Amino acid sequence: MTRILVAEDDMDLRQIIHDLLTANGFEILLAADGREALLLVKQNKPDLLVLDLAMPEVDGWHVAEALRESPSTRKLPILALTAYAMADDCERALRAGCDSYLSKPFVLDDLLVEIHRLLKRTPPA
Amino acid sequence: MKNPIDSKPSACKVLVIDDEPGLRQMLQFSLKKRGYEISCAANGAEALALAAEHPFDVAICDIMMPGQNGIEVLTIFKERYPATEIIVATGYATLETAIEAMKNGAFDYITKPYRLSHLCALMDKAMEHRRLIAKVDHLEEVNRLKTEFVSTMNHELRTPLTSMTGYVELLLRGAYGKLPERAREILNRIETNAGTLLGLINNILDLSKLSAERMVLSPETFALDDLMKEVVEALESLAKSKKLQVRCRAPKGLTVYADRTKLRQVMFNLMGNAVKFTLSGHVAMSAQKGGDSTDVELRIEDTGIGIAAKDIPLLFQEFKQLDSSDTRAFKGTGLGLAISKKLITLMNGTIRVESVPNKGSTFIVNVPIAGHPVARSQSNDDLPGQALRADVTVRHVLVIDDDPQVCAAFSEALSQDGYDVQSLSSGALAIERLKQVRPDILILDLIMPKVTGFDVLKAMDRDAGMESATIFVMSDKELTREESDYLEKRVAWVLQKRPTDLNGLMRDVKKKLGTLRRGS
Repeated sequence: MTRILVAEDDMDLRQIIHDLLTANGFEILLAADGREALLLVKQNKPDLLVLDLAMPEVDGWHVAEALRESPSTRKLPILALTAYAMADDCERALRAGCDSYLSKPFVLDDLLVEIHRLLKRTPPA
Repeated sequence: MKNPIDSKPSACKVLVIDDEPGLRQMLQFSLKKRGYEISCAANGAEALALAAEHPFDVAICDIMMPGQNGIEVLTIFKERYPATEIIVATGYATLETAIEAMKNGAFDYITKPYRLSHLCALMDKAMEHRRLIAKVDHLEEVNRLKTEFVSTMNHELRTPLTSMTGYVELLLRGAYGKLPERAREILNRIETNAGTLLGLINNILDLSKLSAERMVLSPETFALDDLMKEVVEALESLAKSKKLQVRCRAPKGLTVYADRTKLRQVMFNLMGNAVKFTLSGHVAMSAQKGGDSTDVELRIEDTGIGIAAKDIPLLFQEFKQLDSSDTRAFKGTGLGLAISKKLITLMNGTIRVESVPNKGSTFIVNVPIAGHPVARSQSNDDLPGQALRADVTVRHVLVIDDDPQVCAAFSEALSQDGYDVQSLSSGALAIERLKQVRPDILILDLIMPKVTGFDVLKAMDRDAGMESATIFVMSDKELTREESDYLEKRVAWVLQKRPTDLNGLMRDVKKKLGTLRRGS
């Protein structure tokens, strides 16, 4: 089963993404901040990371950079979520190593489409 | 935040820097009598020591002094205490000395021997100058806080809205069980309203950025007819549901150089309004080359309800809807036209409307976007937001800092002034990039994990291909003697970094860039 880690500090949004992705046949892990996200990636080796950028402890940009620096997670697909909807934030996300991004609020279908697109690019081994 | 406008005037604190003891005594005595608070220094070192204890409003600095001369004292003093206004006093008033002093930041000069009343008048003028500067700073700060507030609120509003629409979507998808038909209808209405709310939030953000003159255009070259088709297609289904005809006529192969996203927003607003306010007939968008070589004229025409002549002046105002009653027939935020007008003005264009009630309206946009960027570099002069940048060729700034907030602050602050700003988050990335580009200005954080700012500078020392005309470095740590010596030779300026006062940092950098620019 394809395993997705969702790192998002907003409880409701975490729940929504969880419910959506579970209903679509994914196995879901949840993290409420950047530190937890880094830990869970290490322990559980997810196939994809959905990463909120504005998070406490360690923010999404730093999570992405840290993952890109380590050889074992360099290729992990990362989908960033941002609430700022400004070109600059999105660019920063890509520069930090995220593969693509969605601006909040997003349509759930777009989230599914992006996830499938990113997974196809790097199919699970 | 202290409001300088409300604060009571207190005694003017004056520092007299003069090597003549007699003159110091005389000024101490007579200025004190006139209500000034006086301190005296016999040379530059004494002056700086006094200023370190408490700030002065005005300093009167003698030019001819043994050891350090007045210009040197003035330069150092002004660098450390930029808020103090300095009046230089000179015994042999050559114009050159005076000009030199003014260049180095003096407020004014006075020729010895001078009348006390003349000196006092100059000091009063200097105080007034200070007060005005403080007022402008304060207003700029208030405006900045307001824009920041709107941007933060915008973010805060988006998060709960995302959860609301997310749950509604999941409910509609049946993720929590099958729903009765009526419940689905209601959920659809919630979804529509959430969409309206998001549109409003986006508009407010745009409007606040436009009002603060913080909206930056990113022009590109593209085919105008493609964009027009895109807009028409997006509105087609809505028009069809109202049985309206949609026409679009654009000259084939007309390329323009403009901010595509923002031009699209304007077209979408105007065409969207046309569809919204037309009950039968047609809406049409056309474009043609206008009067001069760069002018493009867009016409958006409808057979809608029209606008009464008396209402036309209200049309482009923020939050004004012509029918603002609760029962009004047409919903909307009333921001679309205000934003469109501001966007077109930013592009140095104009927008106007011709309308006959119950017959229809035509919006006419004239904007200088035809052709290619080079032909039009001078067209921005009389734009308020861009007046300062008109004579400045865009200079490339590269910011290296591991703190994304610092990068974002630079990017925001400097692109406003017409700089092309790029930022990178690590020293390693910086070294790679500097092998490819030569920024005009490099702003480099010294303290970064792994590859530090010093490492970047050393890499540049080793590789002659890596260069930048001007280098600023930032540090929030005490530098060792060795480090200071190295930097003194290597970089233009060492900035004291204060992570908690990014605005102060931006102001310092802007000021420094301003002097570089004037010097060049």
